[in-house]
Amino acid sequence: MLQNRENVVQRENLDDEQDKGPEQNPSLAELKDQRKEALSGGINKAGERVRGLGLKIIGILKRVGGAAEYILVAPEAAAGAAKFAHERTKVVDEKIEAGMDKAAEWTSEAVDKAGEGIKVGYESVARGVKKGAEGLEKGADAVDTAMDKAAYWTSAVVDKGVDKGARAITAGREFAGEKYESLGNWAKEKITGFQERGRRAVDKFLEDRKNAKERNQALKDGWKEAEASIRGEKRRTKAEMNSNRRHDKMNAEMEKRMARDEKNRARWQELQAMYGMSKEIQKLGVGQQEIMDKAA
Amino acid sequence: MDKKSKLIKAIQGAKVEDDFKTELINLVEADENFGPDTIKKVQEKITEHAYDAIDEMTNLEIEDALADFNREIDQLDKDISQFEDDINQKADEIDTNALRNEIK
Repeated sequence: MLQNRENVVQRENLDDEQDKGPEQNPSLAELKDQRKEALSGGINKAGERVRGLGLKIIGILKRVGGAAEYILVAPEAAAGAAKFAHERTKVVDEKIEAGMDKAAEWTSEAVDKAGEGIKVGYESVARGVKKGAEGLEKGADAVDTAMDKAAYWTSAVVDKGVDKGARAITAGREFAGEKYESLGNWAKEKITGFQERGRRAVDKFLEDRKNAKERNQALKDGWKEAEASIRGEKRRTKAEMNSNRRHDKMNAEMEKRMARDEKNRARWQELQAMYGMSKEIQKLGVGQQEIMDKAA
Repeated sequence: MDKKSKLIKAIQGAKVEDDFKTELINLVEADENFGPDTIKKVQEKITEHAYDAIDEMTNLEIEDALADFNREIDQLDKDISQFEDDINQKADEIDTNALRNEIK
């Protein structure tokens, strides 16, 4: 923006100077140097601005780039959740085993007690056996209960703890990952659009500059041809006549352009005036091709 | 009227910059041995000046193209700044919602 403003101010200054009249104008050669310097600086700064915009985009993308970590983390989170589930299952297995050991201990205790009953007496034997059987049944019930509980607990842990844990770990990140992925795609489209616009602007400027330079060369060639033609110094070959026609066409196009552009029109009129002056001078009987060759 | 006077008259009558006319007239008058070489020098000067005028027109054209380019880049810069605001806003929303999901 600042550079643009500088160019405008610089241009306005140059225009103001031209408006003040010929006495206050810098010479054409001075003006040419000033303009060349301003243009060269302007073109360099334009290049810097384009590079600056590229860096700006990279800066903006750091935010989305950070999101890429979320996208990468999401599968890791899922793997982490699976590992967590596995570890919880292992704990449950251990608890089932512990439950079974305990039940076995109870069983063993019941058998011991039955043995003691036999020792006490025959009457006690039946009761002891019965008690032993009950003990066994209880032991078995205890095992069943323990196993049922363990199974239920396992299921609960897996369903509740593991799933919930996995969901808790992955949900936030997967959500962010998916959303950031979508944001990244959106950003990519926008940036592609910016890149295309920037590229078009640069291409257009380069094309305009190329055309201006081609017109510059065509005008100089046209001038050279016209001067030589005034002198009638040499017979024209067919190729040269064709070349002249091309220059005429170019000149006609230039005249149209000049008609649209006040500043260039003044230069164009001056050029025509110089051509007229050159013609007048030629009537004095002097003129050589080498003049043009030297000037070129 | 001799050739020198005719030449000066031709220069004075031309619709070119006054400074340039003065430069040409000074060149003619300073030449004590007026002759074909003098006229040749004048024509060389005219051609140089014509080329300067052509270069000036070209530079103006390039300057206009550069101004167009700068306008386009200004707009692009504005659009990229808007894009930065948009992307930050969208990213903030995602982060907030992600955090909300993790807390649930």
